[in-house]
Amino acid sequence: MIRFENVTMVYDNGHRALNNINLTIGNGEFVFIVGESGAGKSTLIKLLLKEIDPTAGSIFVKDMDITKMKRKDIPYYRRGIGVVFQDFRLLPHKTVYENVAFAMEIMEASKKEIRRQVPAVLNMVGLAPKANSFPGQLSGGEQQRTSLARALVNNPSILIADEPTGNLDTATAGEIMKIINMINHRGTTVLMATHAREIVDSMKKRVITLHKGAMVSDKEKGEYFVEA
Amino acid sequence: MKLRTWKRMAKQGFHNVFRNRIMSLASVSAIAAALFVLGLVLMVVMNINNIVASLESKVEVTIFLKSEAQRLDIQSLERQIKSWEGISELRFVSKQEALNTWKEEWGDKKYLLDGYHAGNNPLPDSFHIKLEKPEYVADIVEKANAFKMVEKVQYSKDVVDSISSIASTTRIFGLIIVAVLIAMAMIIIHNTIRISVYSRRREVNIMKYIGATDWYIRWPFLMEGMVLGLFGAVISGGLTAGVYSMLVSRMSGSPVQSNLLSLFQLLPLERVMYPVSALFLLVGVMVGTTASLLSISRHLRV
Ligand SMILES: Nc1ncnc2c1ncn2[C@@H]1O[C@H](COP(=O)(O)OP(=O)(O)OP(=O)(O)O)[C@@H](O)[C@H]1O
Ligand SMILES: [Mg+2]
Repeated sequence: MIRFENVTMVYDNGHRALNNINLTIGNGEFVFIVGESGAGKSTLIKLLLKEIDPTAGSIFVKDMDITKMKRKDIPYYRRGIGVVFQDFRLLPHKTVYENVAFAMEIMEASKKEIRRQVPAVLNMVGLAPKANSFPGQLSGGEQQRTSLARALVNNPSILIADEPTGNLDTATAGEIMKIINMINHRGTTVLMATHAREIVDSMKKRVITLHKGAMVSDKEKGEYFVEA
Repeated sequence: MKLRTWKRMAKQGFHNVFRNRIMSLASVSAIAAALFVLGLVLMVVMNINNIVASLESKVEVTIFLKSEAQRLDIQSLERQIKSWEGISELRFVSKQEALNTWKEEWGDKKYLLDGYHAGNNPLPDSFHIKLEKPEYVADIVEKANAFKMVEKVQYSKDVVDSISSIASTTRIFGLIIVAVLIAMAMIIIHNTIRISVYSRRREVNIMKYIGATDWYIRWPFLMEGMVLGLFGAVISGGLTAGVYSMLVSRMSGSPVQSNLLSLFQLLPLERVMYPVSALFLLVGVMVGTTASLLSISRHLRV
């Protein structure tokens, strides 16, 4: 599904954020990316979203080398990937429903499709009762669920999450993890960068550890581990 | 893109305009001002062209004779003129006839001319020639001037030429002013769109993540520029039409007596406003869209 081959990322200022990364993630896997702050987790995610291009190496997604992808194909590539961030990134003047529908509008879905799909996905993340609330009227957990709903509404085959529980308390984070786990069980490949040791340790999933831009461990059913 | 997407883009464009009221107002005023001046220039030029055309269609040459010209010489001149090319009508007006006409033209004030009679008539004998085409003027003037008994040759081409030069001066200076105003409008709209892009940066960022195409992101801002241009065109169109119809009613309200002034029949409102408003819409929307496009290419990182 996802394959990094000798990927190195050096930023314009000369900072080497990732160094010779090789990794393969299979279809339907659930993978945590952990590492200290500045280890390169977000850089890895930005590469996957083709927000930036690596200095060297290739990145394959569904057998396509995205480093060679044409600019005009990028939006269509991104439609196959759902993404959530620590800061939710919702539009404050749109309701929960509208925020989710927005992701379908940009794909020019019909009103009918939107009316069918949005309530279904809101139901899935347990937000149906809040459909007409604005983000400012929601708790952090509810906002993140809205953001998850938006990421999932177009049925992506990959879900990427960059510290999705970073702004949430433990209990709320647990609820979000339940939803993400459920999505994974429905066949979506999940890649999640996190600092949350309890979550990683409790879920017994594959854990990839980055340290100063290098991959220092890759364990099945691993635990949170950051080199001193 | 699908129809519903176009609708959404247009709606978004309008929405942006109203969201960003102050800058939108500045933009619309700037476009409206530029177009209004353009409208004034066009009104003047169109009317002058109309006058020139009507003058040219009735080019007349008047040959004034010296007072000592003898009847026989005059008759022989008349025969010669008749043989010239391009003459469609030839009429001899004696000094007495000219005096009578003059008195008639002055109507109830003709007592002022009571002092003039056959003995001290200041007016000369003259030939009035209508031409088939204005091209013959130069030729005929030259031939007429060759006669000793000819005092002066007058022809409406003089008037045509001086009026034409007014038109071209108006056109040149007017268009320079219009160009400056359009440039200013472009700068203001450019800034308006930049601010709009800035205030929507969050949304733009999200749109990128969820896979909106570049043009899907750009179109609302382009629409915003178009809407600004459209509003500018409508406002300046209304303004121009108002000013023009006021002028038309002023001109027709005052009775015009003089021969020359009667030529200044303003074109009817519709004749002027159809082409002018079409041009306003075209220029307004083009200016808005171009400025927006420039702004987007500089400020919208998609
Ligand atoms: N645009 C950039 N230009 C230059 N350096 C950058 C840029 N983005 C990130 N970096 C640097 O690259 C390194 C890795 O950054 P990255 O955001 O990938 O870390 P991270 O593992 O996500 O950290 P955190 O846990 O704090 O989110 C950091 O040292 C950071 O300062
Ligand atoms: Mg990060």
